[in-house]
Amino acid sequence: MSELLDTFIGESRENLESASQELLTLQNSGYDAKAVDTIFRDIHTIKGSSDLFDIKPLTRLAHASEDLLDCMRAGEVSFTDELGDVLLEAFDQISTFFDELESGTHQLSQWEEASTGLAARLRSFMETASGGASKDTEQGESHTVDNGATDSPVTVAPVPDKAAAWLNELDEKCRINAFFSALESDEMVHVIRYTPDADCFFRGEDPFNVSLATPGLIFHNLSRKNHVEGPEDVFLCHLDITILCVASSASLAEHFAYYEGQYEHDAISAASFYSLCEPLLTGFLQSDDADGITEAAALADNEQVARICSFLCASLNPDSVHWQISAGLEKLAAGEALSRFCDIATSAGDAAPFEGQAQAESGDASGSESVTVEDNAETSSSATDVSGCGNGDRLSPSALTMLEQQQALLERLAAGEGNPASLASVNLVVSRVLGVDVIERSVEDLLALIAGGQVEVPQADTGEEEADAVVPEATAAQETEQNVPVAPEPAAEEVAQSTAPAKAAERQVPRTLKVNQEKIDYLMDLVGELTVAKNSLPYLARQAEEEGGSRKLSKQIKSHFTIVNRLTEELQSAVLQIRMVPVSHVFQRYPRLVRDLARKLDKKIELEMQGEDTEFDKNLIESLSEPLIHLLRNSIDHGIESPADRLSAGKNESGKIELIATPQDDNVVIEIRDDGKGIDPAKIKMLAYQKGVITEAQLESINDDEALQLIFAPGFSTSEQVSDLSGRGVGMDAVKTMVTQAGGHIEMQSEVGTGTRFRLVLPQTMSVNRVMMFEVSDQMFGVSMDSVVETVKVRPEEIQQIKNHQVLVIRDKLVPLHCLRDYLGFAPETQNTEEQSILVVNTGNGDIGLVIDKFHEGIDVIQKPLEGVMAGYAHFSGTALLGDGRVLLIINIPELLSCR
Amino acid sequence: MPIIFKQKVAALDGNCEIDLAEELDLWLAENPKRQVNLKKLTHAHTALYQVLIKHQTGISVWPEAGEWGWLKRAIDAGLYNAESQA
Repeated sequence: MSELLDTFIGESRENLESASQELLTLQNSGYDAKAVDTIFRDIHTIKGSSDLFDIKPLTRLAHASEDLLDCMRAGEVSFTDELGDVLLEAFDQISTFFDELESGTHQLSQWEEASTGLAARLRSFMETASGGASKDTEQGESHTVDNGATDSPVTVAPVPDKAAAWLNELDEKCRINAFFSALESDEMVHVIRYTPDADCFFRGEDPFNVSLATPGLIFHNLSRKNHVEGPEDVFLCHLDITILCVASSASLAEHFAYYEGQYEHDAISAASFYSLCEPLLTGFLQSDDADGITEAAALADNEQVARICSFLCASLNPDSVHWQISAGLEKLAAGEALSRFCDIATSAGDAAPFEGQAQAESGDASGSESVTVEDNAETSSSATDVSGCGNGDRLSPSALTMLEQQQALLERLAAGEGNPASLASVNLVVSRVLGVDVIERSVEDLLALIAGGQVEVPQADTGEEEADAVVPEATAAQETEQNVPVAPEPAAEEVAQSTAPAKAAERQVPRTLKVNQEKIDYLMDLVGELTVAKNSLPYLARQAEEEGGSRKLSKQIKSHFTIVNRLTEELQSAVLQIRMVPVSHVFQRYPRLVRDLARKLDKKIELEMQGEDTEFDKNLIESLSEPLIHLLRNSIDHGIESPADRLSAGKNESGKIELIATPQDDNVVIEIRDDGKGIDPAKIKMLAYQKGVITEAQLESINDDEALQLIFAPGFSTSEQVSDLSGRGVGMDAVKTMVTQAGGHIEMQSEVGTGTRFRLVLPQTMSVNRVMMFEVSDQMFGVSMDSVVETVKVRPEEIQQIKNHQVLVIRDKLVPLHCLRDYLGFAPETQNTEEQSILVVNTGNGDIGLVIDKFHEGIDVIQKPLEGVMAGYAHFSGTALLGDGRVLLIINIPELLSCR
Repeated sequence: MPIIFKQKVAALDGNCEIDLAEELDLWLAENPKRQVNLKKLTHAHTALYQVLIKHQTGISVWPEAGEWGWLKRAIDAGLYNAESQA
């Protein structure tokens, strides 16, 4: 499992926990806006993060919960226990998803079912609140599909009003195009009203392009949103989109998966859609252009239809509707989908272009509407009876009109006009209308037949024929129902496979324990006090020996001390270990950062990371993140050259940045190396001089290495041009401050043309400090062991005076001396001692000597910051408690010296 | 540079992201006669299209490829005119 997923699950569990808790409070003590806010935020976080992974069912469920909570916040939905229960159920489901995700036994197909069901239930609350006005998608979708598919497969569902109104305003050609695409691909026509949230740009959404990429897009148009706050704001979305497309519901659901709640959706079957195109199609088929198509289609002569249509396409104006229809028909004929068209046209009713078929096969539309798949055999035969296939005198008016048309055609044929080839189709039409066997007949026979209206009634045949006509549509409807992603049923064996591991997952207890950091800090404090208490044992031992006079007791105490000492140390390191986290926590954000920046700057950069598992104190790691980002940005922006420059410099086209963390004793060293152009010390010197960071004298004397360190000086920036990435002149200064605050230091090396290397040395933990103790005027003080260079004892005559300042020469090096008695406000030493104790420390500006009274040992202390009135005294960096109960003041040397 | 502002025409080039929207908006607002050349445009963010629609910007050259009728219609429709706002 990836680190990222791990973190996501860990954090989301926490969010879920808090959300559930708040929800329970809500249920117990009634509605509370604050609690709803908390739950909303928690779920929002889960939803947002889950988008990172391919777990759409989880995202969907979280999204539905979020939407419902949002409605609650807005007061559109009032909180009920029932609602709370469903929300809790949703949370539990999400939690189960996490379990499975963690154990790697998840089956998305199985999730889908649970997720859609629950999401629909959640959304139903919003639905009832908004007075049944279907605002959301899922519901609207399944609703429409229900109409089309389950109620009665044969019934042609009316096109939803809203969609119909929009479609009717559309260009005719678009409608025709959609209709034929739907027939050709045997998919539903979809009308999607996509209403992107006004602030969707901030989530990185790009609605127009989403809409343009809709599968099977036929047409989309834009309209202004009713109301948007800030109409002048270019970063708000002001427009709604209505999309007409032909595609499977599943592919659409997938396409719009991330925009749930932002779109409404109507699925219209080709049969329903026919009503919108009917006048156009009928008009076309009855026009002279289409002469012969009807007949050919009635004969199911696809080739003939295709031929006529291709001829029409060549002769008609390609911008005309008729051209569009011909092209559509031609495609249908070529793709063997013509029968679908005939079926739809037939079942659509009296004005259908294929009246002959319509009448013969299924009577009129009202008849077919009541027919269902199961009982169509019986009903259809009765329907045929009623529609009057049986007897001439009971033919419906439209059938009669039709017969008259055919008669006119035959008469023209008899007179030697018209196309003799159409005889066959006329024969078919007439036979069907009258319900006689289709046998070869001459013109005269047919005329006689029409005139006499003589028929034997092969009712069984018609019944069957109608069943044929009905079935393809029924199957089509069933298919679409399956395409809807409401609840795809997982295969049986899949379920069987996945249930077993799922159970195993349930038993598995999460291995990580999230503990509030305050608790750990408290534990840390306790360990600190224990250390202090432990340190008092040696004093006690000494006391026992000196005052009690019992050497034996003293020895016993000392031996006990070693045991307590060992245990305390172990305890301390164990507690410290708890606070340790691998640096990968910080590092894992960087590849993305580097990639984005590199892309922005058109550079090619590889980031190489090493030692991600190096452990670090949690607090330190957090303070580390910022400076590292800064350094990386610097390397990317200023260090690595553009690909062209690199090539001309004979380097590899893509630059390389290495990020290496290595543990070193009690420290962690983090290095950032790049193989860029490096930093030119001469340039730095000049700039520093220009900016007044160094004086003219320094400009002459400073060496290259020192010059490079100038970039850490406040108010210094080498970049001539301020970019939005880095180089505002606060950078390196800020980095240095942050690193110093964390108790570390930063070094930099650079070579022109080969690259730059930053080295951050940071303490692994900042809790325990090693301190050097010393005495001044009978009081104990301490300085951080890191700054101590050496301790020397000198005779007073070795101390020299330069002007009014005492100095000491140690190994040919001049060390200025400062008397701490003086600085700390104690009385000057009266008795002349043979030796002076000098503590030599380094403060960053060279070595200095502190004149003190007496040296003591170094000890580990837990340094506490000064509090209360003492907090203002910056010359003490903190305090620590000694074993004998005394308080040790730790001196901040640079601060103390600057007081003078 | 995905957008080049000339005197009367701004040329959009390649892939234009949302961050250009504000600049384009201000530029078009300065003078209603300014036009936009989309010849080399391959992809633009919704916000940019929205700006074009808002200003009913004249398009001097349409992109070479693709179907742009929807944008043309939207620009012509004057969606941002006071009367068309519901």
